[in-house]
Amino acid sequence: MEFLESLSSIPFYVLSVITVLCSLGMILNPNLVRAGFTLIGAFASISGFYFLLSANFVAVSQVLIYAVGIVLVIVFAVMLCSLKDEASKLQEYVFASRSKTVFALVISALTFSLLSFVIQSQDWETITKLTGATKYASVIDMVDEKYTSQIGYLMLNKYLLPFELISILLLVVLVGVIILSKKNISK
Amino acid sequence: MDWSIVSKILLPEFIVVFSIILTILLSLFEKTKKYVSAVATVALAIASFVASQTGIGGDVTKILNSAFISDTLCIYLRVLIYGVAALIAMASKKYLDNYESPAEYYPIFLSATLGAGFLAGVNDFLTLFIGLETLGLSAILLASYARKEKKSNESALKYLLTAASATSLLLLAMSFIYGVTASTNFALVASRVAQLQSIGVLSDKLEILIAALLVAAIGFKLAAAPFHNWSPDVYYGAPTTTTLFLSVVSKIAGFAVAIRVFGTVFHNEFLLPLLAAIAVISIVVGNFVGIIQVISRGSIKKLLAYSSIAQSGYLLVALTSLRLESVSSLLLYITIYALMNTAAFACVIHFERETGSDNIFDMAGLLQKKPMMAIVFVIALFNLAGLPFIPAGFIAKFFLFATAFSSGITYAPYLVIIALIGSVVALFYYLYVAKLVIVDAPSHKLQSIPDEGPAFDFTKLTAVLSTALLVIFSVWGMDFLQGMTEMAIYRIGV
Repeated sequence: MEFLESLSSIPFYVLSVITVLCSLGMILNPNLVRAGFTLIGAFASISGFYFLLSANFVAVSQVLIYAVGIVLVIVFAVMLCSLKDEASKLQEYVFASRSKTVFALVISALTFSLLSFVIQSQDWETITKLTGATKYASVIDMVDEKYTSQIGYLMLNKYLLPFELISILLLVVLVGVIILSKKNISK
Repeated sequence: MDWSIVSKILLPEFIVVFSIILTILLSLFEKTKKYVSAVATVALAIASFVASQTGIGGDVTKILNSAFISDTLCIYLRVLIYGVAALIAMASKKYLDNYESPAEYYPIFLSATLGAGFLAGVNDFLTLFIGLETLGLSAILLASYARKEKKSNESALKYLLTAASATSLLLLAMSFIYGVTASTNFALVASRVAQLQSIGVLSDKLEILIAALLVAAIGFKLAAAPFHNWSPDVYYGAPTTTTLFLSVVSKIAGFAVAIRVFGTVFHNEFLLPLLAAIAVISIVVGNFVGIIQVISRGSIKKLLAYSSIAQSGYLLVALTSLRLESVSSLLLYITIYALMNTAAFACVIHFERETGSDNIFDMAGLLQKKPMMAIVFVIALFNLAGLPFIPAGFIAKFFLFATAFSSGITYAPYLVIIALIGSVVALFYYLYVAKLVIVDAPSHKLQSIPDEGPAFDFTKLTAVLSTALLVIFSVWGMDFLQGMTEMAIYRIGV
């Protein structure tokens, strides 16, 4: 098992590098369509993390919803709206002031160091022992398909209330979007 | 699972959901469109009444695997939320007729209220998140409702972006909490956090981080400084009915969450200083920047936004001393705050509809043109300032500060002193507006509109009704407070 655990850290680092590179590419790329496609890479590698944590269902929905659904919508919107001029203006606005960029860099560096410092300071081993949560995903879990059916069970039992509330929220958001995007509404 | 209990406790929510669907259907046809606001108002009023009847022998009942809890706090806040929302729905009718599609405002409005109602009895971090999103996303839609006005679009976009960052902070806090407790349920989280704290396994730094993240995320919802920057702009740009909703219903829901999360779920010694700090900053920012708003000829909506930031500060003073009496005085204050803000905003809505302006100086001489509106508006301003005329606002403020003062927390007296200084400063801008309304000669905008006729108007009715309720609370406020304490309204279930 020791060997397996040490082996499982290699894909973690590979995925981390891909995620960071893709996210940077997404932010720094002046072409919106290309930025959208690098976003796919970032989302896909994040779904790799979920696979590593043996959360297969979450990983697949990550691919389906984010990597395919949302990015496709973004790219389509960009292509349909022909935002070329606005996009370059936006780029100029964002990167024009050096002080803003430096400020943003400092803030994100501080956030990163704060979070990593705090997470390092906590003794997670004892907590996982006390709460009974498992730290490492075993190899057997990764091929267990029961998790997906359990999610379905939980959604309609334990988490029925939030689940139903989301359906109402979606209905109302649909109404709102139709109202906001309608061309001309007769009085 | 006993479905009869579930359907009994969640009956008000079922009524609201039913009215959402009904209003969507009614808004489809030209002939039925005009009934939508009446349906929404009546449904919310019924929901408010039904909510008051849901208490099963005063017990704490948890339903749907502890996703929702029905205790006295939940019942009271739901009655308040649906009741005030009914008043707002009533005030909105005529104002919205200026917009392209007034009917579809109500389903969104109802779902925002539904989210707030669920937050009153939230007992699970998942329900908390979904409730906040239902409230927040619907409120963003409401803010963008005047879609041809640039300021409305701007306010909605600002609200969306800041709400997204606040939500991310909340999610980060929730994931840390889940990380240490392996649960999202409030009761389990509370007991496990207490257990871990007693063994001393939980690192101080993590506790500070979780407390700070929670305070930031919930402080955003309360529009408490320094997380207030969105509120003046959003309040200013949004349709005034939405502004009223945000400043009242959204804030009550925020305090419902704050009382539950800070009072029962996550509690440590770092939380109270953080809350005290944002209370002080809110009072200072709300009052001093409010004055600048008056001087710089700002909009009345912006002024009321700063006023509500300061009011959040006063409420947070009570929240820092979360004990039995302070919760009941907090509930009394939030009730009276909701009523006086509704009265003040109903007058602003009426004024804005007649003149198309929300500038403070255009309101000059309102008394001569529209005596009834002016009197209601001035009463609301006096109450917001805490003057004993009519004494509801004074009583509420007095008990709020008195309970905080005697709470036994070492720095509570200083907080109260700062709050008192803040209210004295606030007197200036409330009374300045009151003076404009009463003493000054009518402005050009006001001179061009006809005098107030005897015509019946639902916005006026809202203003008068909330003032009447304020009078009732002035007379029975003390009994109400005692009753709440005796009836164990403070008994918050975990």
